[in-house]
Amino acid sequence: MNVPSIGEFEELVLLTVAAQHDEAYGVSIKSALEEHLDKKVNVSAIHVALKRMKDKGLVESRFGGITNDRGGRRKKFYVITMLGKKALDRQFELRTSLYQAIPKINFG
Amino acid sequence: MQVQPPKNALRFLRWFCRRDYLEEIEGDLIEIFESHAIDNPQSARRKFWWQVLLHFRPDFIRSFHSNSVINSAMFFHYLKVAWRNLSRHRLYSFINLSGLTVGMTCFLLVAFFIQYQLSYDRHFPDNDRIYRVIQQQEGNAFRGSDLFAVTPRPLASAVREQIPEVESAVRLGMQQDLLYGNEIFFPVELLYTESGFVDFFSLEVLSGEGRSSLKDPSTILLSKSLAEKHFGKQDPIGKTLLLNDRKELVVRGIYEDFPNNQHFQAEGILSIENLPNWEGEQGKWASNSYYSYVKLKDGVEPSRVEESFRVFDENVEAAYSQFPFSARYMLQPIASIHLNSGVNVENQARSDVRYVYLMAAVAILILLIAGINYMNLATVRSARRSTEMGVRKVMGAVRWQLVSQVLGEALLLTIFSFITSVILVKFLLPYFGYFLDMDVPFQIAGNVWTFIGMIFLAILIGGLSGLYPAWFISAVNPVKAFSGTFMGKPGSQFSLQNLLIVGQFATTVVLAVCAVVMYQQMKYIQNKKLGFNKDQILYVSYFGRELGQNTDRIRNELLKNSNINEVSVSTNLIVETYNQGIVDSWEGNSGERDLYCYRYHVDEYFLDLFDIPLKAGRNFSLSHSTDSTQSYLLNETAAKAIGWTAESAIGKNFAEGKVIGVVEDFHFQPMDLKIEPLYIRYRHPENQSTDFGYVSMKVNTNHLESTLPYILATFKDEAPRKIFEYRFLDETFENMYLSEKRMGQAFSVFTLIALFIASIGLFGMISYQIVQRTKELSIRKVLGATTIGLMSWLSRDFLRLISISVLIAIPFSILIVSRWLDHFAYHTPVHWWVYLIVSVPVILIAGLTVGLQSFKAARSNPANALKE
Repeated sequence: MNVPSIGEFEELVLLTVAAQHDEAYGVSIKSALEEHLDKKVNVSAIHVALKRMKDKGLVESRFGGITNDRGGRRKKFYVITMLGKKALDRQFELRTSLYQAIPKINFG
Repeated sequence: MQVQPPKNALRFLRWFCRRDYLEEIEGDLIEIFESHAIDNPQSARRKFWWQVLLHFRPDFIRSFHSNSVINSAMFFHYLKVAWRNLSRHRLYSFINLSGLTVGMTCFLLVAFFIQYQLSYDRHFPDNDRIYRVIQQQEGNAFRGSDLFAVTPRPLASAVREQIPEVESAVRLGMQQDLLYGNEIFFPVELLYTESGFVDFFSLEVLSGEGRSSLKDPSTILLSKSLAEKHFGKQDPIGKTLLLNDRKELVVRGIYEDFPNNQHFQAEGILSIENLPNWEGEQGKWASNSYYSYVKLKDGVEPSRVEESFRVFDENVEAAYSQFPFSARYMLQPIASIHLNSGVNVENQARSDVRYVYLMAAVAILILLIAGINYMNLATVRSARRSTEMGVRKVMGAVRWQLVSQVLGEALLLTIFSFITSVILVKFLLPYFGYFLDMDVPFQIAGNVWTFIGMIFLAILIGGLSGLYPAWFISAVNPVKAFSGTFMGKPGSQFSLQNLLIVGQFATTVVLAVCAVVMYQQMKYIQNKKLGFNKDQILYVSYFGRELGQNTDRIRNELLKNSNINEVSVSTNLIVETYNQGIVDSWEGNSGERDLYCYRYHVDEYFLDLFDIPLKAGRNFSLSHSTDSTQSYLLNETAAKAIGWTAESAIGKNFAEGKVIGVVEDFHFQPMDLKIEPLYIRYRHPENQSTDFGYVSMKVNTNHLESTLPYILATFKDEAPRKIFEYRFLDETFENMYLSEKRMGQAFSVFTLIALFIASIGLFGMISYQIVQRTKELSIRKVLGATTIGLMSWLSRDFLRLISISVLIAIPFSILIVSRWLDHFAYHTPVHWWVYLIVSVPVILIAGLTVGLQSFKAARSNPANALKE
């Protein structure tokens, strides 16, 4: 099966989804990313990335239960799919192989 | 309490966001908002808005068709219900639709007419920069106006040289001439102009050469149709024609016929140097025989150019030194020429902008009446549907759904009747044009804006007339609707509808009064004592020196026919004179006073032929040798203006001679002008050129079939290569009032249509009321009410309304009618019985409508109604 390509921001979101296994939703991804990247992230951008990856079959989603937070709105939790994992793996391999090709010289 | 996110932002989000994403996005946004709000509620709200806006992107915006399954199901449901409603109440649907359709058809017809009237001269590129120069001769009132369309020869060249704001200027001369081919010859309208004309008016030259031809006086350009008339299928270029049987002209080019909506028409164009007076009028600032047009540079105000015309003042003053008035030049936008009838010496009859307004007013009124009809009927009918609406409400329909249902129905119906009207108009327009004697084109495809405008209008009408019923019915209280107490007693709650009925009928009465008065005025004009006899008189106009010198021979020849009783030759036609001059010397006055006098030049048979009585003195006579050059006849008004009586005027010195007689006043101008001073002189080359004029004949109308050919043959013998036409004077007279007459007729027709629409509306209203009150009626009948009693009970309300409308209409119509009549110097009095003869039929028709329906209801078997 063809592994769909993903963009840089999508990759970051997908990594977060994978890391927060079954507990990832819009706001949690946002705060995790903001923490790691040390800059503001727009939740709308995360939503766009999630929807696109869902269309590509990289993630799946489910609704959580109703709580008193969030004005009673349910959370939508995302999990990474096999395909998503493959996409991450391939991305990782690609980067590692490219990284290893860097000659061992001093970049002083 | 917790801080809430901004409501409108949420509403906006919910509106645009995809349903399946909404909860997630909303939840996330609210969660972020809540965490922000702890620190700073104000900025949290701002950020929330910002976040919502960031989500407004294609990924999240829902497809507005996505949930159309429900919508389209409802839509078809509404359609079905609308159709059922229409077909269940066929009669009312028919009334409703036909009223609306007739109204719209009238409106569209008039709209086409008006659009055509306004389209004149708009086809010229740069028509917004093209102006005609006209002149005002203050004090020189001629036929009710001191504006003249003609300008002197030097004007255009002076403008070109001295006024930099003007891009180009061109002169036009118009004349009717005879154009001779090898075998055939035609009278043609010829345009004499300069070579700049081609570019100025963007003349479309089909073949040959335009510009150079106008520089060469020996060539001519022909219109396509005239070229075909003369040469058929042959190539006309290079062929020769004879102008007035004298001057040879080589055809140099062919141009596309001018469109009908252009204010000047010409079948041929040639160099202005061919005009007989062109050479002699060089540099003469009083030679007013040319139409001058200027094209201003972009962005130049016409008033600035008018100001610049002052540089010619010196020349003009010099040219007008012997006159008691001078000339001032003004600019008239080319597109306004057609609808301005207040300028003298036009080359063609102009339309009157008042008729455009009048027709527009009538059309709008009819449309209004039809719209009101629809509104009233739909409102009453909605009473029947109160149960339906109640059920819908109970089932959870919200108000806007009901409103959009009823509005949608109204729109559907209006669009349907709009389409029907457009089709009707397509077929009726030629007849309408024939009726108004103009060729109104049906340009629906060609003119996108007209089309869009009309559709917009149809929607507007549908919307407006559906709005009230929609509002009215959607307010229904379901409980009341089911218990049947929604409508209540008619006449009490329906005050708006009563008001509208009054409005409809009042409008109709006003229209009807106007129509009757217009008709009366036409009759008045036709029957007014003119002061001369116009019956059984034929005339032939002639042009040419030889003919003018041989009129005696023609006269004798004509009189040989026993059916021709009298013949007279004059330079003017009796019903219309364009000849005016100033007299400043008479006994007791030498230059202190000026008398503007219209002039006739006639022979000694003129007074007899037209039965114009002499008040005092005598007619011209050949036995007095001085009569031909030194004798004057005055009309009474002229004598009075000087301060003489008819008797005292005789023998007084006047102008270059003496007064020998005074004739009774007669109408030598149309009825909208007062009788003004007039003098009559003997027709003699020394007084005025006799090269043109009219030969009038009093004929025995019993043998016209032999007399007419005899007359034509007589003229033909005299000048075989000329064209003669005979005309009947009474016909010419009637044609002078043709536009008034046509408008009057159109007005009457529209009035009848308005009455028709208003009546069917009333009919629909009363029928519904009767249906509403069938039970009440039946019980009354069972209890012993008589038919008459029931009828009067049913129709009382309506007849009261109609009477009120008549009372309201009368003052309005008095106002309108008297203003219209004011523009005739001689007009019929408005009799009180006019209102009676208008009101009575209106009340009668309304009464009949109401009466018939109530009679039918009162006669029906009460058992049937009560059984239900």
